[in-house]
Amino acid sequence: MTCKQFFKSTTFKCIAVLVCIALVSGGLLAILNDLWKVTDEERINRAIASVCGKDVQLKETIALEESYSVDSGIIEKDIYYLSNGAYLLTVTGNNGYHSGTIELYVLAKLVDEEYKIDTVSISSYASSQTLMSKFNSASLEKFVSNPSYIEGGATYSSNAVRNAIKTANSFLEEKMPSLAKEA
Amino acid sequence: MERVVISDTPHIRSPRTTKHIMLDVIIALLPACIMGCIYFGWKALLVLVLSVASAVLTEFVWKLCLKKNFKTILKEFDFTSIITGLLIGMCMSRDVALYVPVIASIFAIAIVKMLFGGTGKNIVNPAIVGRIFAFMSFTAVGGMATYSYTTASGEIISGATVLTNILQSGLNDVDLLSMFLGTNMAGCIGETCKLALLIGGIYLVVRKVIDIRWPLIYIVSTGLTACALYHSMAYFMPSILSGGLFLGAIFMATDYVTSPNNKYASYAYYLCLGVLTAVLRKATQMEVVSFAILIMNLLVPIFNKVLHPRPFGSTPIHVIIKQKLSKMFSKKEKKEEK
Amino acid sequence: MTKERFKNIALDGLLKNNPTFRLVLGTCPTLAISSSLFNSLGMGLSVTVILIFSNIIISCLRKVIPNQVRIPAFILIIATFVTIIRMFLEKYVPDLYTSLGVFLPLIVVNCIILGRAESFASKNPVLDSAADGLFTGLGFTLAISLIGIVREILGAGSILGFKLWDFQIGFFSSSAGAFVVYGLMIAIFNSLYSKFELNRNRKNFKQQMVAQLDNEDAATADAVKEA
Repeated sequence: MTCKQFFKSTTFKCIAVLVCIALVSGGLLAILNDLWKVTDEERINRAIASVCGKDVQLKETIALEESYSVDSGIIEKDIYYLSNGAYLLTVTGNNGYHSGTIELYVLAKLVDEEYKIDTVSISSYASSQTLMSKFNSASLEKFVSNPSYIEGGATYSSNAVRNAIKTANSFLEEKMPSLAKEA
Repeated sequence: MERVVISDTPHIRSPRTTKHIMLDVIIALLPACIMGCIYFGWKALLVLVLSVASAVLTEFVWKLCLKKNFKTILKEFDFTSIITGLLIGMCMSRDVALYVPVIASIFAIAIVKMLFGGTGKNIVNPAIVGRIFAFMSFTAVGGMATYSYTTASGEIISGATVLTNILQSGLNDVDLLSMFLGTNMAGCIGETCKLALLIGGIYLVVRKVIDIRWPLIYIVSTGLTACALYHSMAYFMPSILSGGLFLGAIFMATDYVTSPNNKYASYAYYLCLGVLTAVLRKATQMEVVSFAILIMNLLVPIFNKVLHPRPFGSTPIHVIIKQKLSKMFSKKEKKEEK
Repeated sequence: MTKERFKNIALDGLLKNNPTFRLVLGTCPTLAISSSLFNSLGMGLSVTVILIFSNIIISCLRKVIPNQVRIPAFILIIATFVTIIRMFLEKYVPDLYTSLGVFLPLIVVNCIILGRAESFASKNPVLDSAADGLFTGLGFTLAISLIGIVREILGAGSILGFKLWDFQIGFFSSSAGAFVVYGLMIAIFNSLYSKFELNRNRKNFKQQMVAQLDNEDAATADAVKEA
């Protein structure tokens, strides 16, 4: 085919149309992404709002030098010190369904010279944990109060949640006193 | 010459109707119900009465909504809804909240039986669906997971069923005789006394309502598959005698409408049922007789179509298979030539 | 666009071509999302917005896109709008974003949008396509909200998050209950629709007959006058 024939054929028209649409949409999406970006700070604020309520704010971020990992779970992300004196940890619990993990936000408060878990809320989970709808705030409270509680019908996912709480407890005992800020 | 009689079909009549067969089944279910009420008290009787009443009322209300005459409804009444209500009631535990059997019966009769066209037109067993419905909806309420039973001294103790114990912690402290008689065992109202269920089953076989082969094949194959899965013959009797296997095998799996209609398909059907029950019990750690029966009910049309007996003179199955295989291979050769 | 055509498009989108109950398209999000009314409304409104915009753009470009690449072109345009909606929801309505979960990106391959684009927007002018997108989306929203109301009241004892009573039937919150409720709703909707259709046809037929008789009367009157 000659050059002119190629430019008049439908093949060229198809390719040109698709490339044009892709370029225009790409440009539009790039502009809107900049406009509507959810920053990390906003995510942290949303996490805090979901656990404590809207009045509490982030005071300081304590970065962990090394990640704390035991058999039952890992703590790698930063600890947030909140304006009401509590600490927000992000704990990942192992041994879920199909060896998946569940990530929890753990709120720890200073009670009688010791750090205890106050409330727990679910941050994220692997897609293999299919029964997450069974874990609402009422059932998560039962996990905190009773160390051997299992949510009926969701044995493996309950395992992961229990492991996360166990990791958080051991972290609070061992490492927290050295990391805590003098209030 | 003797008189020649010319008449239309049917030429052989019998006074036996659906009503009589269903009455036989009700009589067969009565021993288990009576033993359940003796073990669990008057609350069990209330549960049974409520589920039967709601099942019958649902059928009446449905037919009245279709603008039928009340007298015709009474004439058409075969006792199938009574049986569905009884079976659903027998699957409840003693302490269940009273609205649970009512709602399960209404759902089973209205949506599984009457919506599809009434007696004989349902595609799955309504009692099975009622039981599954109650299990899925009300596990937390009314304690369908743990049961209570009355000991010899009259105390009421609650605990997990024997099946749950076997599945989760293995074979220890399993008293076969008490499982067979149903004394001091936690469980559903109708399922604990296996002896009563067996008496009912023998009555049905004597009255020629069900065939003795099919429940036998189901129960034996469940036991053998459980033994194969756990690698020890000691699991045979406990896995047969625990859970709802007797009730499901004798009364629910052999339902006329939802089981295969010929011999070969029935052999395969009940064998598959047994294997499926044992495998699912091991995999999911809970009582799966109702789910296994539901799955196999949905597959019955395939069994009927593939495994039907061939009339004398038609091509036997192995010849048909050879012909189909040769057709497949010849097609492959033709494609290769091209 | 005349008023008659607008009325036809509206009735088609809401009743005759209702995507959930008559065309049975897009059942995957219907069954998965309809467990609560808030989620259903959110999903329905997102699909409506995407339908309107993608129909407008595809209708504008209908003479430009060659026939051989129409499906990839449609998918590109629809995917762009779905991404825009996703970013918008993540920023401003995060509750809905988390509860829709993986079904929000799945709207790209939702058969409703692709089906309306292929059958209507690529052959009709812009305003018609926009109206069709609006009313098909509204039909979908209504349908999924009806299923959502039934499932939420029976399955969770609440409506829009406000707890009404403690009585819950867990069956209707599960996927098995979704199928049962969906099937029953299709049956009820189709029986009501066929009655509505029958009445409308009878009315049209009567009007036609009356008009014909009037014409005949006028014709005979003219003939008598001339004679």
